[in-house]
Amino acid sequence: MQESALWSEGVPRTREGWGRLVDAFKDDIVRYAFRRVGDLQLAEDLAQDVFVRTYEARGRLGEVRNVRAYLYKAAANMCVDWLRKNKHGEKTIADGALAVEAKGPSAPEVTEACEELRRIEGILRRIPQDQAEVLRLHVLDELAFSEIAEVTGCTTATVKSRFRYGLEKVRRAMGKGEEA
Amino acid sequence: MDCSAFREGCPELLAHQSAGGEGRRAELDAHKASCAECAAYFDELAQALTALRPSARVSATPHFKEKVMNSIAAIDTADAEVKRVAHQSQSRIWKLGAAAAIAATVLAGVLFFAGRGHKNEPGIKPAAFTILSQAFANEESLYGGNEVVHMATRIVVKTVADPEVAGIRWLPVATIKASGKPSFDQLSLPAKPGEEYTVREDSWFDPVTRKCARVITAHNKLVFANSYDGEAVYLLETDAAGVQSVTRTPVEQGFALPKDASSFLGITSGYARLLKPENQNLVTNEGACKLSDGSDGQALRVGMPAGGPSGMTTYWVFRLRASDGTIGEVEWMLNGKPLLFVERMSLQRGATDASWDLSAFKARLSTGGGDASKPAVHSEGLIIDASLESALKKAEYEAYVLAQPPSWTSGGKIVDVAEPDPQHRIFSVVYPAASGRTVTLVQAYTMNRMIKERPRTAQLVYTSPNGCKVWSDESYLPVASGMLGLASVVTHASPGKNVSGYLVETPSATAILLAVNGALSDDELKGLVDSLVPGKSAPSSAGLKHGDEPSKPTVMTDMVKPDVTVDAMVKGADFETYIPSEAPSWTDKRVIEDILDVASPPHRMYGITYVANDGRHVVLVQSYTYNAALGPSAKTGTLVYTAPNGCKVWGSDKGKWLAGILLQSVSNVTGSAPADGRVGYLIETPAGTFPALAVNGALSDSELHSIVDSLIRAKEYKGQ
Repeated sequence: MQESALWSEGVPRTREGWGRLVDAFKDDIVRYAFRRVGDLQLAEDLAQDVFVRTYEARGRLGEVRNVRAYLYKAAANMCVDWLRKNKHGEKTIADGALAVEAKGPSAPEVTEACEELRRIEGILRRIPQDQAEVLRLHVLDELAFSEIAEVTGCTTATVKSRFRYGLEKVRRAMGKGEEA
Repeated sequence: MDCSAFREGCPELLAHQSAGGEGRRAELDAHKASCAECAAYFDELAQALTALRPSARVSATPHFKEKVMNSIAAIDTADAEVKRVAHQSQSRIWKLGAAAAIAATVLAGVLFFAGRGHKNEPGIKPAAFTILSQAFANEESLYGGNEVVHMATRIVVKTVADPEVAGIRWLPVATIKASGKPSFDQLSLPAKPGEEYTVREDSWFDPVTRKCARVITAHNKLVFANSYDGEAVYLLETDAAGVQSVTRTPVEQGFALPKDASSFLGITSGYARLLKPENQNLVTNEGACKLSDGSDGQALRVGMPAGGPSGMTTYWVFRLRASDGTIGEVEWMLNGKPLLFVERMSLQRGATDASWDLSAFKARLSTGGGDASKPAVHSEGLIIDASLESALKKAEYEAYVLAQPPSWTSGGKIVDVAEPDPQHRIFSVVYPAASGRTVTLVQAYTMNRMIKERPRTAQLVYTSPNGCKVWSDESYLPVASGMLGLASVVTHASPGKNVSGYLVETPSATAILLAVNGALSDDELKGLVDSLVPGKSAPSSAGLKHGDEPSKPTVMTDMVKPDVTVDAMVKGADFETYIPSEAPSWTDKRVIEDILDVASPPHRMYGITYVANDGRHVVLVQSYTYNAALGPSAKTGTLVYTAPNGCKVWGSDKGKWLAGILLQSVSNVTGSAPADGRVGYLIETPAGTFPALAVNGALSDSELHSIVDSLIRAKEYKGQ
């Protein structure tokens, strides 16, 4: 079943429905949290809280048009709260991503994912933060422009604009890197 | 499309998300194909995008979903408890509504059986009335002949689940006075929900000497005894301590018993005036039936008006014996379920066991103390303004009260209510406020579990020096609202939208639901919690009622006093009464009746009737029950007029139904049945009372205004 179709039926009324919802979005939300906090176990804890709190708020979700975006926004808030409480510097939060380092023993795929994120972050750190965040949400989290707009609170036109200028800067940065 | 527009559209091409659909995409593709510079620009962006795409991603671990679903299951369990508590409070509100409806129908019933007329309903066969009349005549004939008759009757107080309904049942009792005229009293027959018990009535009558005796016993204890021995009348009296005695009063000159002994003895006692002609269309023939002993019979239904609040319908079923046409059984029904069942057990002619001066029962008189006069089976579903001692006695936990009422309130009243599980009681203290910011403390046996089962979102907001902890959570608000609904039996006001609710954990490990009908500042919250003390050590400043509740079942005397004065009404009422300073211009006679408020004895209700030549009689009824139970519902109707004297007139779709009850109840005064065009309103007075107004016909706005404008406090009335 398509994710959108799953949610077009409204908030699931049965526990089984919520089970399907978790299946549909668990990887996305865990992945998002992981790239924000850099620890898979912690990312899963935070993602679990996202689903549980969404379930608790299910009575008010009738007004939510895009629940996927809602989950991402909830995950973003959850991560920001965690980062603040754990005294990670404002700069780290503002960067939109931690310097990703898997903590403790990690499976090879996690280590590989960390490496990839580190490489991508290395690029994105060289462009303006607002443009980098749009690119992260699109490339890493695979959100549509309209969903990014909802998560970031700006218009879809602004998202597209940041996306294009961000890519231009990435291209230039890559060119400089190649020249160097 | 120019180059600038193409570059703006590149994100759509790259993300395969074209807002303009295929047409837009085709335009972009066409430009890219025709413009090398733009095509190169697009390729550069595409390369950048590819460089950002990760080659490896993390995924949720296999047990992630299981953990989430376990958490959700835990939430469901917690929610179920919150919903259960909220449901209980909602259920309580519904039951209070039902109690109000019962009160209304009982009020109608007492007036009915006190001999008032009733509305003629269309489609009902008068022939049934003839059959019932004949049955009453047959009953009367049972007391004929020249031998002493002994009739034994069984009254079964039937099992009822609802505590409010269980607690307010009654039967009319006709008491012979020294004047010879019977007074209509009320035999209260409360029970616990789910409980059934039997009351026995024995009647003796000597057709030759017209001596008579009537004794009612419950659990081998005397409840009522009244007799006439040819010289004096005898009456069982029970004092406040439960001590019983029999008083003897010589009959007055001209003493004469009612001609029909069945009007004050036996199964038809109190029902005789049902036979007034205006009642004929109330009776319907339900056809053949079986009596409880298996014999053949015929059922007649005597109906009360339907359409009251909560859809309550009450009626009586008279089952006639096919063998002799007498009344074998009477059953009082509510929504198809029996409340009371009355059955003649035996009829003996030539009886020799009569005790005309009740001396044979002296050995059974209660000497008071203990539970001698208080059968254990009896309790009340809802006690408004209970005493602190009696409520504490019923609570199985340490109940707390405020050492002094909140500064913005006018003292406290205890509402003692059965929980849905009737073996437990809810201990509720209500502090009404003129501003509407009522404070209520609710404690209950099952509520104490709320401490251990409080939701994980609950936050500890205050710890008082007295050891009480205050918990705040969103889930407490609907419970608070429900409890304020319960408090409305005292405040006469419904909960507002903005209520405050907290769970207070006491040092005794009990829970108090603290609800306020409005906002509460931090200082006010602390002040309330700091002043909580165990009820057993409440100081006099707590301002709560003290003393014990009366015994049940009981006989309440003086059910109806016809035609009393305004002064008597003012003195007899325990609420502010109102009266028009001038009679409505189209009326020419006023009668005030003083009636037992059977839903809340010993309170009284007062009906002021103005008889009109054109049939548009006006009746204004004021009662404690109306103020408490019907008043709050008035505001759910439409405000149709506010008089200069501060009285507000509320209308609703129940107005005509209410007017029917009021007008039928005074038809013996007016001489006419309720008219189809009747109108009814509830009036909210500045004193916070809710008189019910009915007019037996069309009423213009100016006429309504003139009646309401003329309302004054009865104690200020200068006329006769």
